[in-house]
Amino acid sequence: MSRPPRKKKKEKRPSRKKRCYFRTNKITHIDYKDVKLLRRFMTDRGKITPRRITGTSAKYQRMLAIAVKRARIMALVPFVREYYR
Amino acid sequence: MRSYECALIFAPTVAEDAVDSGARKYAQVIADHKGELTGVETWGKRRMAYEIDHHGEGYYFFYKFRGDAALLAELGRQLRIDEGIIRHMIVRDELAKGDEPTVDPSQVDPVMKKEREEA
Repeated sequence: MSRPPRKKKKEKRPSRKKRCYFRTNKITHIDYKDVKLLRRFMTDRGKITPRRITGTSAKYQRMLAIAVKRARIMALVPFVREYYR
Repeated sequence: MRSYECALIFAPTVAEDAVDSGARKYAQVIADHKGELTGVETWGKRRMAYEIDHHGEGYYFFYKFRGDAALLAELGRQLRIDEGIIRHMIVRDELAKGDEPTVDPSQVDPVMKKEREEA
């Protein structure tokens, strides 16, 4: 019994599997004082970049969110960027 | 006792001497309330990401210590009273194992001065 020929696949984007930055670099704890690191996961407007874009795993996204929020309280990173050039 | 980290920002209008003595004062507060100071870090004067009380920059200090709830309450109370401190935050230090060697609060001053000269 042979399977019916498969329907033509809809245009498939080349899959580029994103890897969680923290997993690949074996970072187990995200420090709110590490501004350089936090900035990598924030938009230039000061928002936290969503997981679907950065590929961060859920566990580290949660840790990241807490670190960013702490850094915001201490004015290390902005809540919003007021002047946008 | 649990391990904590306390971050605080002095207003840029505070004189450097007063910042030094302030930083030493809170190290002493920790020691006076049965806390164990395990580290002090200073970033000196730093530009803040947004203005706090119309100040664009501030002196950053970070303490790592172990202590009880009574210490946290007292430290937080004193930090809120201090007019020179524009922001503070005490959070659990999750990385601390609880066996870090203690630092003498009176040793805090030279460390800061040295770092400032290097910067």
